[in-house]
Amino acid sequence: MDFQTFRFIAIAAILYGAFHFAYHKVPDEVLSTKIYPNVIGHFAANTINTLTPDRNVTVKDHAIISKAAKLNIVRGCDGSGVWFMLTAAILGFGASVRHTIIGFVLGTLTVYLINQVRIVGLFYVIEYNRAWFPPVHTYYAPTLIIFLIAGFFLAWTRWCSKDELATDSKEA
Amino acid sequence: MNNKALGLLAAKGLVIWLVLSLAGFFAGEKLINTLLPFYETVTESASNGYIADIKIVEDDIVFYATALTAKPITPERPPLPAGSTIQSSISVLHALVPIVILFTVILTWPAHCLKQRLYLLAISIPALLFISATSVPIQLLGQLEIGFQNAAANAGLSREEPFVLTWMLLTEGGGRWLLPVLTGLASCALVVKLTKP
Repeated sequence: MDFQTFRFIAIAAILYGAFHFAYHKVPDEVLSTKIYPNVIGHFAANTINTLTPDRNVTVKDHAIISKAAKLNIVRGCDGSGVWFMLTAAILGFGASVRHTIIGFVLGTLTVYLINQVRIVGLFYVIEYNRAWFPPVHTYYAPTLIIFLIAGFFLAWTRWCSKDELATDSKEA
Repeated sequence: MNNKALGLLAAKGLVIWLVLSLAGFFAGEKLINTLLPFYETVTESASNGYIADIKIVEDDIVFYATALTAKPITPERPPLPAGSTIQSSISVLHALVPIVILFTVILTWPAHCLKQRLYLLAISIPALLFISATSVPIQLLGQLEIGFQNAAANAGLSREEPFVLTWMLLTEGGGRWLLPVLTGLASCALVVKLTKP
């Protein structure tokens, strides 16, 4: 393994650990009464109500509720794990400050949107067939999300390398 | 790598993810069954005080932990007596997630020759054992520790968080996704270095 790869893996792993421990310092109550309803819940409920107005979905703390289904957003189901992973990878890659900031902002948006799709999708899964929830929630969704985020990271690293190469050749 | 090649690689990855996910969903229990003795060995080594009996019951991996010695819970509480058996469990699908991620990374990696592909397959075995050792046994032990933590908390006592619980929380928060991604990348990087002409 070359030094660059080792450095990337070591930095990403250390940063991930640091993000994880900082996240666990946030009390459950803050997450479930402030962050989850405001950052995730209302947006997901609006999406569901726009797509299917008859559901009349409401948000109460960390729960998205309709007559037929209730979805609780709990610690770890907020996309934080993937966000920490992507951010650690972007910071560990060692791109320029400009590329890192753009990667972080776009990466954050991507993770947020993917997680919103997951939350809305899980709500419909519960409503349609509760038995499908465990495999979709614990198995298919996490692995697919990792794949999509890896795709984003690959595209970002490619853009960084191309851009830096173009800058170098201009300077030369 | 041009845009077309990158697109093809992404499509290949998606197909591999789909095939592995479906294979795991329908036949993953067989793989986990094969890994049970390994899980038992690692669990016993990591626990230092239990005899581990791990079985698949319905869709869950169930860990029957028999205490070899009295296990103290808190200084103020009576210990768990030696010889008593307690249990914890996680679902088979839960255990398959890091395996699917690891093999998606390794099989999607663009190998340049047959030798490289064979090396990748060979390295996937220790990689599989590594991510299996750092996920399932620790999760099962961590579940037991959660029980002890809750028992202490219910009695109004505080209990120091043991390492297996810290590790379990780290892996459950997303570490069990990061671990196979990094292990897969490290394996591929190692193979590229080993097969360099």
